[in-house]
Amino acid sequence: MSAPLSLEAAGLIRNDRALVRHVSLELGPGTLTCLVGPNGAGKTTLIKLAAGIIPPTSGAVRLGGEAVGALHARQRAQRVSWLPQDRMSAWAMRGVDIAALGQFGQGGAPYERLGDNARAAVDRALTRCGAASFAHRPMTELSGGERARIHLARVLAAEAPLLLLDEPLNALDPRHQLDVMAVLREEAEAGRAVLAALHDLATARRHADRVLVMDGGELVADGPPETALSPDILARVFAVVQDGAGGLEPV
Amino acid sequence: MSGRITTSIGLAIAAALSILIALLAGNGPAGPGELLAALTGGQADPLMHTVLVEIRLPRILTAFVVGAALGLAGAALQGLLRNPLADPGVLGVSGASALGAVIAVYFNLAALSVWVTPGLSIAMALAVTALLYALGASAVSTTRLVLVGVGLSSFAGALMALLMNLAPNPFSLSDLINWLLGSVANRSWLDIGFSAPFWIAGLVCVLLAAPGLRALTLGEEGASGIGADVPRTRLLVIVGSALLTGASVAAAGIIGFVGIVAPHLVRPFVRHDPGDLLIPSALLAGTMLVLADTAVRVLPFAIEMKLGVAAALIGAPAFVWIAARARGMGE
Repeated sequence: MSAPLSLEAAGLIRNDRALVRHVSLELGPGTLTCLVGPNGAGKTTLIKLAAGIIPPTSGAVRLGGEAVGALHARQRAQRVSWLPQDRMSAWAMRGVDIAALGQFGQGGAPYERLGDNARAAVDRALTRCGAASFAHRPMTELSGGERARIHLARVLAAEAPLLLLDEPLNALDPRHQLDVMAVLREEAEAGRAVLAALHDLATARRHADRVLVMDGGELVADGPPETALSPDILARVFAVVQDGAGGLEPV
Repeated sequence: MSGRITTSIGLAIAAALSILIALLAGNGPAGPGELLAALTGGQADPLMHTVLVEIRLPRILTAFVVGAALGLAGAALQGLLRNPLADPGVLGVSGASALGAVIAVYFNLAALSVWVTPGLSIAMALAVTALLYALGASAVSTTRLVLVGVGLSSFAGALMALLMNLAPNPFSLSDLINWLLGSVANRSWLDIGFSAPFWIAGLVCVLLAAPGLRALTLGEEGASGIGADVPRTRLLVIVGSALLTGASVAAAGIIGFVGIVAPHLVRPFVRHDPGDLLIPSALLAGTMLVLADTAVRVLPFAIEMKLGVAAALIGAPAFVWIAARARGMGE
């Protein structure tokens, strides 16, 4: 069976600038991978390439073995579920209707008009994100953290084999960050390939099976946390060293 | 029951009532009681029949369909652009469309075929909607889009002012002013017939876009990410709203603001869902124009106030009120 995601020398050049250069990687089922890198390293662009939102200008992106450009938007959404960094919801729609968009492929209906199976998937996702209690309220009345959990529920509700999450811990307090990492771990254990771009290196080190490090559009390290986040990489890519207490200091 | 169904049924009843009131009201040869009797009893007094069926009914239906089309176009554009202030009038689509109609009349192209006026209205509406989208769609701030629309609207206004400036005689001038002020007076079944195919095609386009509009609440990339065909939705809304606006301007000239006010009032009743908003917005906007047109008919002015003027007198303050409160809604 083909891997949920494979990139073959994928690159993206925009306005004469290489945002992603020659990235090759494969994400297998059942793993939780964290993507880290300094600001502007190309994490968001790499995730959008993988999600099929922007086509690569060189190389190939395959979802479940199929070139992403050959898939219709609806087929693509069955293979990958993406949490954008910019989590927009334009209107005062209810949380359940935003979460229901995770099942958009099933007719694009709001929550109440979803089929039984699709609605059950949305309910499960909301419960797992701890969002069931406030999901019937309008998004505009929710706190930033509550909205973030609705959007995460939307991503889980798709029940796709590949999850791509761009900074899923933004706007969350420490406890909810831990809860989200636990949910991502469950998703991996359920056989999905999970890729999360994170800023916090300690969280990546603690939770990931595998860490990808990007710098200047290139994949500069790929491996288990202890090797991908070695003191050498920390100094070279992030310009930090680990202090004795497990914190970080500038080089 | 879904809010969409209950709201639509309620608004459909309101629309039917408003049309009945409009039929009975007015300074005709017979009072409301006699007209009601003629409607229900089938007493075929030829004069009453003429007043009701040949004069009032086409005018009332034109008002209703023009309102419904503008309400639908407004709701669809708002969903596409994620901006509660988007409306064919504000964005300059109505102005450009009226310019098309004015060119048809001014240069006597309308004499070539009855389809020239609606055709040019719709072509201009289409061109401006597409231009607007190309210029403003990449903007993070939706404010920019509205500003681009205001500019396009002013430009269309300037071109029409130029034609008025150069109008060879008072008759052409009065023709031009009719398009600018907007009215459904003296419309016949024939006028409705010429716009009808475009209204129907526009309605179909916009309704097909409903699920896509729902997805677009996540932004264009977000919508694409959940499997919505964003280019198709965009095309359906642009073509659909241009058909609806162009056909409405061809039938009634420029009538503004109804496309903003109606969706704004309906939104809370359909859980702010941009797809479910469409039909109720059309019903409410149609009802609003029927009532406004009835008001201008019965108001005791020496010269009848134009419907477009009445709509702007009520709609413009409502627009200001919505704009002042809209912060954080669209962005």
